[in-house]
Amino acid sequence: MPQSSILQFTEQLTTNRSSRICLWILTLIVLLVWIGPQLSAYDTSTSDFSLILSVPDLVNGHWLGTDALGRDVFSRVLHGGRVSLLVGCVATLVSIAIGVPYGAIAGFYGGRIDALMMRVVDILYTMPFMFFVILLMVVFGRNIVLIFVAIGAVNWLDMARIVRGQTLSIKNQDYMTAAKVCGASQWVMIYRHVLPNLTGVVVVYATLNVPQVILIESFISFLGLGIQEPATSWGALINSGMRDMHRAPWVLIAPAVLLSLTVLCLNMIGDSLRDVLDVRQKTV
Amino acid sequence: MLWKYIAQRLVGAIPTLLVMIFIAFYLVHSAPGGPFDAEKEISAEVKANLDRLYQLDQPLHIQFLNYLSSLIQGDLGPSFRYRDWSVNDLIQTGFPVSLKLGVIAMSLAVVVGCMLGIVSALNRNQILDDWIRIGAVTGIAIPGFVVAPFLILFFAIWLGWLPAGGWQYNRPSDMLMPVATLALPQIAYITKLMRGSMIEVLESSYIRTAKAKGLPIYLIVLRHSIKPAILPVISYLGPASAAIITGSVVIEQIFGIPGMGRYFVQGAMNRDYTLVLGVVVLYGMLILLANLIVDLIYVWLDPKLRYE
Amino acid sequence: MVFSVLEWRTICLVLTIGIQLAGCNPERSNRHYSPDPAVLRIGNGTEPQTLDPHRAEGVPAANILRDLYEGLVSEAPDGQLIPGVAEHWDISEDGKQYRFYLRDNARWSNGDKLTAEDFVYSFRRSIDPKTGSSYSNVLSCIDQVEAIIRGDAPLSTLGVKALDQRTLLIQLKAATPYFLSLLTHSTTYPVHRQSVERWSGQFSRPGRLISNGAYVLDDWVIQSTITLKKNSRYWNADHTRIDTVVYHAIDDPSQELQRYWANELDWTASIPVGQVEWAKHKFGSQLQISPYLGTYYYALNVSRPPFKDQSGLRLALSMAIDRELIVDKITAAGELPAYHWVPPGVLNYQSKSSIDTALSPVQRLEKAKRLYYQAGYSEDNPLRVKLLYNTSDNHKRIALAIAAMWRKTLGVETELINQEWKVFLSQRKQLDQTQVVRSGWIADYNDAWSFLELFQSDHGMNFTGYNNPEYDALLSKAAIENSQTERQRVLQQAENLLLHDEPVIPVFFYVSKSLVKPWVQGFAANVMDHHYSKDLRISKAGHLPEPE
Repeated sequence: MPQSSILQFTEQLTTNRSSRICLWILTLIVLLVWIGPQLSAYDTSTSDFSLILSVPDLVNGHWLGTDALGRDVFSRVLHGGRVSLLVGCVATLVSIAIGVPYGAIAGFYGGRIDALMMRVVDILYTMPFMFFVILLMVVFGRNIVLIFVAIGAVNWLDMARIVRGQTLSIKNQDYMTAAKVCGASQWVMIYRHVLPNLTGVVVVYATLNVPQVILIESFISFLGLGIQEPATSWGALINSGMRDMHRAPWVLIAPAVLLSLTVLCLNMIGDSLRDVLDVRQKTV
Repeated sequence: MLWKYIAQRLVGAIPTLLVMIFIAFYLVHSAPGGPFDAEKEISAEVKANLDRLYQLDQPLHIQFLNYLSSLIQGDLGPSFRYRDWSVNDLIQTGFPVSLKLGVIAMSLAVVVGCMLGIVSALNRNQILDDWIRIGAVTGIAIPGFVVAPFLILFFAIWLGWLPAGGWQYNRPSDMLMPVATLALPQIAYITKLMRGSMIEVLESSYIRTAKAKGLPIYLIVLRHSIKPAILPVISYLGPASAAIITGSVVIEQIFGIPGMGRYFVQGAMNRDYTLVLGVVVLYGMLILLANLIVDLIYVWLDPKLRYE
Repeated sequence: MVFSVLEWRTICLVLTIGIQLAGCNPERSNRHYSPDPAVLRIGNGTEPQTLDPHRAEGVPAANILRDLYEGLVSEAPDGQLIPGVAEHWDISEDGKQYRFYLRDNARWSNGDKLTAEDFVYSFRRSIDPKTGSSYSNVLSCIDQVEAIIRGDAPLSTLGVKALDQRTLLIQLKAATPYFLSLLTHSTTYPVHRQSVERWSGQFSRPGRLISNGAYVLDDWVIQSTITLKKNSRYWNADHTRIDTVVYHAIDDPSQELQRYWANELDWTASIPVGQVEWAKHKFGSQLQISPYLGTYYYALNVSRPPFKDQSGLRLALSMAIDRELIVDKITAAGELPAYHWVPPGVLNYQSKSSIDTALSPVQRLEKAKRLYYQAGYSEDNPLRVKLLYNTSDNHKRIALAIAAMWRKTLGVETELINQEWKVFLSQRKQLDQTQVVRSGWIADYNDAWSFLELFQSDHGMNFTGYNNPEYDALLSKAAIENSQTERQRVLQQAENLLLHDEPVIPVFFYVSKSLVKPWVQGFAANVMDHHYSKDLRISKAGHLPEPE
């Protein structure tokens, strides 16, 4: 069942023109970020003090120019992209790891357990959560692992709610009653029947969650609280690019365009995935 | 019925607030460094004096209880950094600024977003719709801190039409760029929501009947479609106000606006414990309140719902 | 929804034009701006914590306090000491006793007479540990101050006495050549007793603050602006030309630059690092750069490995830094590369030592390598150091450059540890953890002592763990030395010793850099970067042509 639905996803996805293009752009960005740094003749941290804020130039190999310390913008932007995408994916995994079991358990058991667990989610929902992320950053210093965990830890609420809703509807399906009648244990039921049927929703909301996390990370890095030198991310690059924008706009434009494009594509893909999922729900 | 519901919700919010204050309190106090660490080292005696004055020499849980008890009396304590001011003073000057910024941005987002959404839905799959949709997805994807520098570069520095920052004398020109930057992603989001729900409403049977009756389209939209179509937008207002509050942190930083978001970041950096807590308490209450208001509007608009 | 080829082309075109525009900056705005002659708008860095002169810290607060208050002694625009509240003064033969004669017409902004008693009260308040001043030890040259701070003597024993309403006597512990320049520091300003006592700790707010300087506090919006108005009761009020001075709190120099550029500020507190060359091109003579009494340095922790007992290694790291490159390319504002500790321009002092400037740059690197190998390190066995600095674009750029130089010349592997200010402050003290710490020191008063005292073994700001009894002895000797030339000689010896032991790597000497609009007149550079709004005016001729 999940196998076929994933096939259906991809099929639907590739028939939708705009999301197809987004998929291509995204693949391109991921590839660039992955192998791009090897294409450049320069690494991210070597300074060339004779070339400070030099203009993008195809001949000398600084394809996107250099920054205020004479470092190659092209390889820095790609490295920053690695960090941003990594943060996006890992924090999303963290939120899945917390949110899915939480939501599934609440939805499956229902009753008081459900009410209690959802009450906790409601309480956490009303917290000014970005403020807590900022405080966490201040308290624990800024290491990259912590950024993953902090963002993931406050970001699982949506996932928990959605998974719970889905679990509730799965619970009332006929095959669940059948399984119950056949004497399947609760864990088997959750493992065999609930979790596989959650794949679709989880994939959709994970896709939509990644761009959110990327934005949060860049927001924090922009405030100067995120990733630290010599490592960098798109948010940190935008921050330092802003300081030099009137002299060397490419330092700002490159990370800004890549960040926006990535978030845009992920959103579009997520949206059409959700549409596809809705179609499937109607046919079930 | 209504008042009972409101009272219930308000009482229900108290544990949430307490948890929030508790977490925030212990977080700020566990941050390394203290409010009186400065470039110049102060002598141990002076430090001891200051600690006593601000009750930092007491155990943490006593400090927490003291904080709670003065909070109940509406006293948020003295600011640790701005020695001449109390947190209440600071909030009195900072909050109106942020509130103004937020309310204007929010109203702008709702009005413009709904209008664009309706226009888009009415012109479904035409060129105008395409452009609005492209604009909306782009608006969601481009964060405010990317838009802001370009706006400053263009309107303040090249054209010289708008100030590059600051918030003096309540000039409307000061507000233009910050409000626009803050509202942009919300406009985009609301446009998207409104378009979706409007299309759904327009496809519903009663609207089709109205169309069949020959009612002009603007009347159909005005009289019959807006109210049901706006429901998803209303329920989004809660998250939207949270998003605007969060967004204002960065916007206030970029444009040098003396509001709560800037206080918070500076307060966290300076270990101004009471100021940080004050902002958290205020914004926590505000978000709770916003959610309550949104729910009330929702019930008011949707006759199928009743206060639980 | 999908872009056609044509649309893509348009988008590319728009982007290209945008980039082109960014390159050539059309700037139509600044042509027709005409300034308000009554208002001076100053970019002033961080928000001051308080305007209580005895508890304030940092340059931004000091700038505002100079306008609000006046001490016994004041400064002319070029930094020369001139009479302030004291019309004139006598100094005793042995240089230990100062007798100040206050002006007859010195008044507080509420009309009260300013008397010698006010100064006695203020000096006592400033030194009283209860006040919580972080500068009270600056005044330790005054008789009994140290004992009072320790709590061994009552406040009334302080060596500041009122002989009558207009005569103040200050008794010093030893002749102190810099004592008069110390009296321009805010910690010696008078405060208005009644208002301080009435509002206890919180008197420096609009509507409460009573001051005696050329300006009074009119408005204070935290994190935004502090507005001062002309004080008509100031004894020299006729001389004050500008009615309103607005200090803007702007932490970020880039933001400050933008607002200056957009004609919202007349004067900036600084210029973003590395942008001076560009600013020179852009703003021409509006750029003001002058020497400043401050040293930017890296402190090496000599109390634990790898630097303990390794003065050769410390010297190698110091010599491997290409200071010329840093001041030319990174800071690029005309800073002087620092090959010694006490900056040039200090009164009555000439540094006699240096870190091998006799060698050519190439020889210097050779020697650095030699010392590095002698210390037991090599390519295969590189030194690994942790460099701690506080989060700031400037420090980041300098740290990255120095780490790159160490790697290139010696093969040293540097781990950059970047901490936000408060964490940095608490970590730099922890001598059991630090290795290299970024630091900077700016003189509180114009004297070599202000720099050399830092490395006394018991000094609170000594983050190197440097503990050399010989150095301490030299400083104690200088502290009680009455002869000017002998004192200089002893201090030079101390500096020599310091550079020989090398617990510190001086990198460069600061310059003060700011942008000042052409219509601001009366601005003069001085080594302390002290400026008084009362000496400035805004030219009525209005707008002067901008250079392009």
